[in-house]
Amino acid sequence: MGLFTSVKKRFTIQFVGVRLEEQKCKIQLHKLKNGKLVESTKKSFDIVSKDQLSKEVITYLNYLQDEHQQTYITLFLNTLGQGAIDGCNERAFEKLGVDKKSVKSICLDNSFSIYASKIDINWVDKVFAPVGLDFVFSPFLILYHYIQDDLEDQEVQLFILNTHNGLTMMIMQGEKLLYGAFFNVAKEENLLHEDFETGDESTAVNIEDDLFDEIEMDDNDEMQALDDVMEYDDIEHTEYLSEKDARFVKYLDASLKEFYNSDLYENAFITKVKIYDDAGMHKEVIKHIENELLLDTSAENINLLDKILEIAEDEVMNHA
Amino acid sequence: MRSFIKPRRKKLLDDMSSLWLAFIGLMVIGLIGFGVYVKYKSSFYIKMLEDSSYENQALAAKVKDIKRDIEIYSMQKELYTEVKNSNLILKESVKNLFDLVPDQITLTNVVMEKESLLLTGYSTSKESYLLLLEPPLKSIFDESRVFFSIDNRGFYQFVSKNYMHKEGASDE
Repeated sequence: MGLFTSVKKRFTIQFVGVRLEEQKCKIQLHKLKNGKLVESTKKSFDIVSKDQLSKEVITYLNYLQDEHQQTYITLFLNTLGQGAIDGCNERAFEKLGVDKKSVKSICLDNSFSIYASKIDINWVDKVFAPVGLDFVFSPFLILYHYIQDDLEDQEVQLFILNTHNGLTMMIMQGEKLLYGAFFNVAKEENLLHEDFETGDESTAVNIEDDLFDEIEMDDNDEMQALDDVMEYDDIEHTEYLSEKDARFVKYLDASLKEFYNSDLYENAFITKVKIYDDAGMHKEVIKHIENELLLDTSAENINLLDKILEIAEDEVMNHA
Repeated sequence: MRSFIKPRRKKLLDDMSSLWLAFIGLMVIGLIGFGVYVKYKSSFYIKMLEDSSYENQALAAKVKDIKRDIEIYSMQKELYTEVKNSNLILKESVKNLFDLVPDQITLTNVVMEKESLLLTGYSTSKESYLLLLEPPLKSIFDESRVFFSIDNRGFYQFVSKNYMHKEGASDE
């Protein structure tokens, strides 16, 4: 530990976790002194859109930073242009049609990569320009932290991180990542959409979530299958599930279908599902998974922002 | 690093504190600098003072030498004057002596000392000595004795010894 780090620990260090939803900005604050948590505060601000922090948020974050020099602002990244890939080399990215040059990737435990498109990271930089930003964490990183205790050797497990507007999935076989996907459940994402060809950000084509790329490449049969799943969900569940939960189920079904059918992924049957829930999931969703997919499902309530801050604290205290 | 971006560099202190710290630091450096300068200067002056005192001592020794030289020179001067005076007196005395001697008397030898006078010579008669030379000699000296003898030419040869007993007595 450097002198700077040890001196730094004497000061009050503030960690601010930020999560942007469609209409809300959730902020959690941890104050640490001598490495011990002395204060924890939660705030929620209304925002007009994800693309712009409101004046209140900017004022609050800048006020916090004026109060303590040592303030680290951490963002939970929930943009679509990200994913997780088995392996860390260029070939792994190529295999799933992801251009490694246009994404920023992090290799975890020399086993799999998490990535986010540079466009999304630039967008985050722009949104946070008035306040500054220290850490941007991928939902896959957070989920990976949660599953550490639940990983079982050779068992194929599906892990789901349910955050208010995001669905993060990781299918793991022991320590090995088989499949990873992230969806936004807050609004309708057209999985077979023309956006990727005609969208104003033409460079985004390659770096959007790998799932979309896959589906684009898929043959008609599979597309039909996906459509079937969606239709089925729309009809069966919207009656008693909220739109969000319905989308959650829909995307989950679609991705499982994709995982089982696509040649890109190793054939393995999921035996267990574990859901880490930060959004207060409807019980029917869990029921649906159990009944329709015939999977042994368990759920755990978590506090996402606490976990984000925990990782940020670890980065600052032990990896600086 | 598990984040997609690098954290911003954090300063330990806010701008105002760092400004103050920098200011205090500068002041301390300034004071130390000034202290060193004063120390250097004072040691310089102390050295100068020491040098001056050495010089002072050397000069005092020189003055002493010069004073001694002056004493020697003034002594020499005194001596010179004394010698000159005594020579003058001597010259005077010799002149006086030759003035005293009458024509009838011829001196062959004169030995003049400080308190005595030895005259040898000859005269045509005893009387001319006794009458013309003896009285002035007697008046000058305390004691005056004379011995006569006749030489082969028939002149009276004399040896006159004159003494002065008193110290500081004049030849006159």
